[in-house]
Amino acid sequence: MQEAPAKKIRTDLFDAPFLRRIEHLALLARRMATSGQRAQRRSKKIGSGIEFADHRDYTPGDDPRYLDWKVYGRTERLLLRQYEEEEDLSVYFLIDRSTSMGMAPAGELNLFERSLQVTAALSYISLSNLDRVAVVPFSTTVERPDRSLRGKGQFFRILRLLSSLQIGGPTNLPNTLRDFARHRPRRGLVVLISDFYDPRGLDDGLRYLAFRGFEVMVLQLCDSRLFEAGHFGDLALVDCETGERRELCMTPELLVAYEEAFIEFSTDIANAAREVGARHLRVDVSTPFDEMVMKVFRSGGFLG
Amino acid sequence: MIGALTDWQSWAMTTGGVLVAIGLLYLLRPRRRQIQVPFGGLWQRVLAKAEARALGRRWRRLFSMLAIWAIAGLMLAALGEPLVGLRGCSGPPDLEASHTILLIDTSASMATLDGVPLQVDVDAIADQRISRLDEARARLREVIASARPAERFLVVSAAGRLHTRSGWTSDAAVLKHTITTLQAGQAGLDLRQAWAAAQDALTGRLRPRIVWISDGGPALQAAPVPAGVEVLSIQVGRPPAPDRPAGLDNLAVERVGIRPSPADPGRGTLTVRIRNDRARAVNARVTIMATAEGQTAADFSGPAALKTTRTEEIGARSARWLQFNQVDLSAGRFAVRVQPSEQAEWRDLAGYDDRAYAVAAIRRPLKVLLVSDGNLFLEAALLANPRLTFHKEKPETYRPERWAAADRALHHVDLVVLDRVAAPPPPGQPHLRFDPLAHANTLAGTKYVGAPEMVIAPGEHPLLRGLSLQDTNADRARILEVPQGAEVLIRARGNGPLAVASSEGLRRVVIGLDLYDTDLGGRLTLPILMGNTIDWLAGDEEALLPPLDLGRVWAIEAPVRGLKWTYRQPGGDTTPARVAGDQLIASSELHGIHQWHGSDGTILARSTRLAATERPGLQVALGRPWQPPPSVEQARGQPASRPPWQWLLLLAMVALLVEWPLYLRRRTV
Repeated sequence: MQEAPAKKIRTDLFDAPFLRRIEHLALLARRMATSGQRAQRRSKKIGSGIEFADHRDYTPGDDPRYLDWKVYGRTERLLLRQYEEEEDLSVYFLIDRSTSMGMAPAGELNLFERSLQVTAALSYISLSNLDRVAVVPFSTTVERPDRSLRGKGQFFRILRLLSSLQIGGPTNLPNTLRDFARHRPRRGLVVLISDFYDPRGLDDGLRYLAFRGFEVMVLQLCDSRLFEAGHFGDLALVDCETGERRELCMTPELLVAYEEAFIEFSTDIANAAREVGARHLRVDVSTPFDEMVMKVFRSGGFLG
Repeated sequence: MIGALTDWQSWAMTTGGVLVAIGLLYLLRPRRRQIQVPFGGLWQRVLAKAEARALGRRWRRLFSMLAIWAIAGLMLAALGEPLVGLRGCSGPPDLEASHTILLIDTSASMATLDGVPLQVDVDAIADQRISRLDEARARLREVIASARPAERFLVVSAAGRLHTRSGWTSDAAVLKHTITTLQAGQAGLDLRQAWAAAQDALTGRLRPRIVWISDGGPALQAAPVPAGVEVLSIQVGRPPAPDRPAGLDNLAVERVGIRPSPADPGRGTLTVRIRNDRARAVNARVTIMATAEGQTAADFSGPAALKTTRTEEIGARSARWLQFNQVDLSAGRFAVRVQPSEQAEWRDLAGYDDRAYAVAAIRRPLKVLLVSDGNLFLEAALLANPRLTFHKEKPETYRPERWAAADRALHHVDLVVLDRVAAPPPPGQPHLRFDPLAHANTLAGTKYVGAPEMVIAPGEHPLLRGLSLQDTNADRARILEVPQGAEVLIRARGNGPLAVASSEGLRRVVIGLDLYDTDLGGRLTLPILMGNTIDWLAGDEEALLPPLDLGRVWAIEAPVRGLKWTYRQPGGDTTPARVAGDQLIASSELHGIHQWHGSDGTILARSTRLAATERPGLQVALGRPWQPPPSVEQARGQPASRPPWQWLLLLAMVALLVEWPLYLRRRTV
């Protein structure tokens, strides 16, 4: 269940310098964009736009105005010209708010807070591009999202929404993405922000989204600082979400093996994303905020 | 008392301690720290991969656990080792009271400079030459350092006499100070007395023990070991090395003798016996010194005291008599010193026996009664002796009873000479008789022999000193009978005795010669024979007063009645003399000349001598040799076996070094 929007915005995350920085990032993004004032992000929907997209065979009932007569003159085949339909892009920010996202060294921003900041920045950029923005937090299941917001004037509403989100619950990605795809008929860009720490994996969920025609960007946040402190010796590792306990003798070699396993895990996620045509980006939480946002902005399809 | 625990009790205590330690270690075992992780599945994947190495890891953990147990066990054993001890390594501390006498030989030979330096004392001895007593001191410190907790010591030094240097104490500081004050004396060792005294001191004491520290001595073999007393011995001094001949760099004066010249009693022949303990012949420089009042070596050191010096070769490990003729005897007190010659490249290691002292006997004037019809030979011989005054009497007027002891206040003579007189000598009077008539004396012979060949009988009778009968002739001589106890001096070859001396009761000498029937009277032999005989009859046959044994109790005959006597030892103060009956009693360990002063101005002087047994040679020690404990050997800087607890700690440290990297894998760095 989605929390009610907070009356106040979390100033620890979204203070005045932060707002100035995302304004600056928005300017940078605008320079990088090639299109004009509206609908600057083209959808994949074929419709009544002016940009040629493809040909298809004519079937009875089709509008004869779209027949390509030049092709017919050369080949005597009736082909119908198809144009990309330009429409407002819906950007869905699916934010993982499971317990694992809340882990961080003392005094540092955790993944969840960083994901809120990234979402805020990308939302501002999207709103600036007149895209529709929706914030969808999830853990075990996805809350039914509010309606999409459009226009920069809605930015503070988004900030209040982000400020109201709380961490809690385990992660269930397949269930979450299936529910999201079922509840959202309007296709668009799904920015899935999570650590993806789910033993069930990401594959099924992404297939749901792809099947429903969503363009997906997988933003994998990770925190390499958690094991930099060097906990060695006999340890009992407790899963923060499931409470499952594993006893081991932590050694430097084991830590190296963990890093290798994490890379393998990330590779699995990237492969899963690639299989469904989604973009994958892994960002460490220690990456400077501006760099992180622009990296996401570039690779996330926000520029079309 | 731990010492009274039986084996099974000790093992029960050890087992109990181990069980307690196991319990503590279980309570204190390392607990796993809980770390919250965002995704346990990832670790599960890591662990699944690491499963291939699980066997090695398991072995490592097992080894780590064993190392921890080893460390704990070794530490426990090391801490408990001094309390319960380890079988076969060392025992528990001996807390039972015990009493040990540190019996130290401080006789003169302990001053010999062939002590074996221990490492702890090397720095303190500048020239690396230490005496046997220095070595003994160092060894004693080791004995004290290795004392048992409840052990009490009594320090006793033994030379000629026994000295208790401390009371029973376990205070190491007191004992070490006492040991520092020990000095080698100048007397010989009386081990039997020391042994008896030590046994007395240990009577009724718990666990009596004697630690005997000495360079040995001939009396050791005969000394009875006290029953029930543990005897440990420490032998000091450097034993001869196998690769060099036995011997010691030492010259010694063994004996001194004086023979007054018959012709000139103011001079005499001084004989000295020098011993060389070296393994090769040496040149010895012998110095004769004489003074009238000297007592110590310093008194004899001035140039005025020097009489003569001579260098003679003494064979390897042998002794030799040296003779110094025409020595002026008027001083009366002599000191003889022997040294290596000035060119010698070796040093005398035993200085205590380099000097000897002698006091010449003071010849008292004698009064002689000569009973004779007139014998010029005899009178001339008596007149030649300056210490004699004689009274002549004809045989017709001679009344023996007149010279009896009752009338000696009026008619005192010291001895009587009877020449061809049948009358008996005065009762109780020593006498010399020439040509006795048969009926006049039991020694008288029964027959004459013509032209006897006179032969001096073998032996060293004082009457025969310097006597020679070579080319002496006699027309006839009387063969004497020899009663029991008499000694034949001159014999007629093939016939019988011609001169007999007897000391049974009174001293008397009978010579079966008529001086008119022999040419003896015209020779030098007669005054020599007369001088020897008169000295012997008067009891003054010794030219030197017999020396006193250092360290023994002396009893000197002296006219003590009616006089007050004081005693002065060499270099010492004058003290009232001890008197017992008609004897002066004294004892000292100071080598030199001791003297007594009578209130009438009489001075008695006697020299001392070392015990004949006090030689620098090493002898076999008594009892069981004392072995220094490992801690003492370590203190000497020698490689020594460490006590068990140190080994245990060392092993624990090694185990800890092995465990440490393993530990780091399991604990936060």
